[in-house]
Amino acid sequence: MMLSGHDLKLVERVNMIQSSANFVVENLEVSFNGFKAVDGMNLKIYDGELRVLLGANGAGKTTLMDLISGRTKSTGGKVLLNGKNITNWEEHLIAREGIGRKFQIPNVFRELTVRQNFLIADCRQTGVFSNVLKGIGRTLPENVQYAVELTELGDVLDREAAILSHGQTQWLEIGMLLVQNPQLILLDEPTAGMTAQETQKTAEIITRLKGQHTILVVEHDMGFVRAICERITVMHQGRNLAEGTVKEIENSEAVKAAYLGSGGIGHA
Amino acid sequence: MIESIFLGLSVGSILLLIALGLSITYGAMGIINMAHGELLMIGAYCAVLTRIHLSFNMYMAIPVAFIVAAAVGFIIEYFVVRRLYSRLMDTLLATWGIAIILQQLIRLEFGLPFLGIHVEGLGPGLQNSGMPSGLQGSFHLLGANIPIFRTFVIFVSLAAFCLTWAIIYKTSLGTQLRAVTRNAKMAAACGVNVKRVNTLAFSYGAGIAGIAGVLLSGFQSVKPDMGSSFVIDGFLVVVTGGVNSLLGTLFSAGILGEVRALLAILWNDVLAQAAVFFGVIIIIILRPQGLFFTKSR
Amino acid sequence: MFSDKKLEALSYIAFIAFIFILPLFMDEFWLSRFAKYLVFGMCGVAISLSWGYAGILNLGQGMFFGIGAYSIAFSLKLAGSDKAGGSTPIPDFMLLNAEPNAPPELGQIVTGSWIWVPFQSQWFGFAMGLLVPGVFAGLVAYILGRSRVSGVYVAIITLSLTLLGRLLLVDQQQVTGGFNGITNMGYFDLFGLELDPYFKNTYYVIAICLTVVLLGLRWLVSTKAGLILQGIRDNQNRARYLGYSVSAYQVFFFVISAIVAGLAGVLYVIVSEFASPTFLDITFSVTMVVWAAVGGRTSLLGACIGAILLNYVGATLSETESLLYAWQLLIGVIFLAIVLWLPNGLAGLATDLVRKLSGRKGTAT
Repeated sequence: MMLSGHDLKLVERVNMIQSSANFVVENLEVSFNGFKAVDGMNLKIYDGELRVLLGANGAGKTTLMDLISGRTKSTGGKVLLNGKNITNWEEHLIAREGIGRKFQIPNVFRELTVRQNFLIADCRQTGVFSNVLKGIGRTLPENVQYAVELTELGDVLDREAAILSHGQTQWLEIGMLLVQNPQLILLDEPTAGMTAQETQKTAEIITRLKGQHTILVVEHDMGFVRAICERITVMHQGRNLAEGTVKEIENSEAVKAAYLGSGGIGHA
Repeated sequence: MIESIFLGLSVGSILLLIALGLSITYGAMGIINMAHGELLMIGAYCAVLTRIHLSFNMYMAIPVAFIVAAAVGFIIEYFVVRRLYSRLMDTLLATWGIAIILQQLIRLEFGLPFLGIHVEGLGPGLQNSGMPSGLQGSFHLLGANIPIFRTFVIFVSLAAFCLTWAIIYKTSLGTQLRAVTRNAKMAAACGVNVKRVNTLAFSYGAGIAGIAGVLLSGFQSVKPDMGSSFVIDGFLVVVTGGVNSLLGTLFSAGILGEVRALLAILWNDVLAQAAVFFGVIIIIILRPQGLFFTKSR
Repeated sequence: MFSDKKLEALSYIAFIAFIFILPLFMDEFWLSRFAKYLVFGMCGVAISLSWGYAGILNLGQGMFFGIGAYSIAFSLKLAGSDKAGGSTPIPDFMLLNAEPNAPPELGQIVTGSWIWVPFQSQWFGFAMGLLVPGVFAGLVAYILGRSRVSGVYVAIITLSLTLLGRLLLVDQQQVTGGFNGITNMGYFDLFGLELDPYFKNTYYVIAICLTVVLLGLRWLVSTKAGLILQGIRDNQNRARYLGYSVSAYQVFFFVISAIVAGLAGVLYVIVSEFASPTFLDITFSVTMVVWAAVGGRTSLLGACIGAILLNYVGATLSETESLLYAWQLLIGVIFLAIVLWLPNGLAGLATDLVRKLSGRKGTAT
């Protein structure tokens, strides 16, 4: 059943009353040497939602993630998590507040074993003294065991992370995110460099994350996007250009104009 | 007053000579060459040995020292440093190992005594290089006593600086080096022989150190471990000036030299050195890119 | 065959047994020398913790060693000095440097001598020997950590600080004994037991300290905190994005490393009866790094044995001057080889060998 534009707005309002937007980006901006990579970005993501962030290269998607996770400091605007203003906090404090990030280029502890990577990702307690009092047993904690099974890395637990294939390294990082269990997960091109099979498995893993976590995914692979997606936000020149479901975005005039005569974003 | 200012320039010129080679190897190439002091030491020994065995004077020893030190630098780069471009931190340790080796080789006179050959001028003891009579003594300038040798050193250091500057900015080799510094892969893709450029740059830096060593031998006795104390001075000058900036090295050498000389007159030499160390540490912490950091070299 | 864990436990047991059985086979003279090697072993362990585990190349470990050394030296010097007409003992070099008409009291005889006053208590000297390096290390690590200074700069700065310390030490000779250091000391009084360097009990005290440090640190790195530290060493950013404060871990372990170095300094003075500014030479600090590298920087025991072994061999060869130089040349070559090809030193080599012999794969640590 196709909803009219008016009905869509009503649904949105109802949604907003029922679940609050627990992650808000407000007029966020950052400029590098005069160039505004992010220019007044606005974003609201609701609890448990999986949002895909689309945009051409240079639209500012990774920069936005850098700003959210604290890697880059913004020059204006706000980032709010559960109503708390976490703008420009230090990375580890933002992480503790409940944001986890998976990087475009897999970012794990390469010289440590897979097992050690997972154990470190179990970061419910981050202080030095509390961790001095914790030993490391042979048996894995439950949440780690679950992640290991989901990512099917049980066979390579005691090998160094450096020997993993590209796809396996991506899954390790996602698995670590699972263990970290943050409220908001930022995924930057999780299927980059993956085969079709690997991409499908990644889609399965991410679908499992839905509902219990709020997820923001940057992706280019439209097939993958269609498989996992609920709502899309399109970013263009550092701003929020359009939002909606896959169909809405594919048919959006604004998006088509931005991509100048290309077949629209469906062919990205 | 003039004497104090001059002393500052003199100390600065010595720092410049020491730091110039490092500015290339560390500034341009990112290599932490802990054997830089030993390259200085080799230059100094060249002056000693050429005086004893070839009756060279100091002027003639300079080119010899350049060639010998550059050759040693070549060997170091070719056999060791080259393997460490992907792990630059390890260059610190590896070159320290080389420094140990070089020092002991001098002490052992390259093992020749085991064959019954004893080379005068080598070994663990102190050596002297001669100072040409033309450089001894001092002259008068505006009522102050200016040592001739120190003036000579200032000229040599400035000449070395200008030569280096000319090579970096006016020759194709220099342009290639700058390209490699920015982005080695891109430079290689453009046809630059990165390996050759690196080797030549490192050898040149080593050669300059050799020249510095010859001049240093005019200030103090030559011994196998004379070099270690200069390495840190050199690095501090390069880092304060700005790792990417040749001009920065020049200015920071001048500034640090002046400050140290003036403080030495105010307090004493030891405290002056300490104060300069302290000041540089603060600068590194507050402004790690150096005082004269420019985006372009 | 042997699992990694069993092999490691065996090595520790063998080593500890060895150092405790040694007194049965060595005379007091050699034992006293060996006690110094044990102290150097402790330095190796400290380097291993800070470099191998925390990834911080500290080229100024000599400074922490030196602070520990001088702290206890102050106390032991006072223990061995007589009163000079006042109520407090006065070290001989202070008498030589005394201001004219200064009362022969410790607080007044030379500028700055008031620092010595509390060192009349040996336990104060001991405590300062551990606390001051710790506090100082904490300060340095905190400042460097906050400014996110890179590894190279940390090395340069720690080296410069050490040289700075050496300069000040030599300059303030009226308080520190200057260039000559501090000699002619009394013995440390350990609850009634006098620690004469040529006394077997002194050796045992040092062996016990080394054992405690080894086992204590081995336990520490096996905790979750130790694992997180290794993660930080591997990939700082990843650790940050998991919520760990990189700076806090670095400070904590750097401080512990410094305290161990300070303890080593204290014990060294007890067994060799002198403290000298040469402890703050570049060569000494870097040599410690060489010991740890050769022994195996990622193995506490490896670094310890490396230090002991290299010193033992060096001392045996020091009879002939040229042999000593040749030996140091060899160390330079070995060190170079290790940096280029064997990052885990002899300990790594030994472990790989045993693995090959028992036909196991994998690189679990």
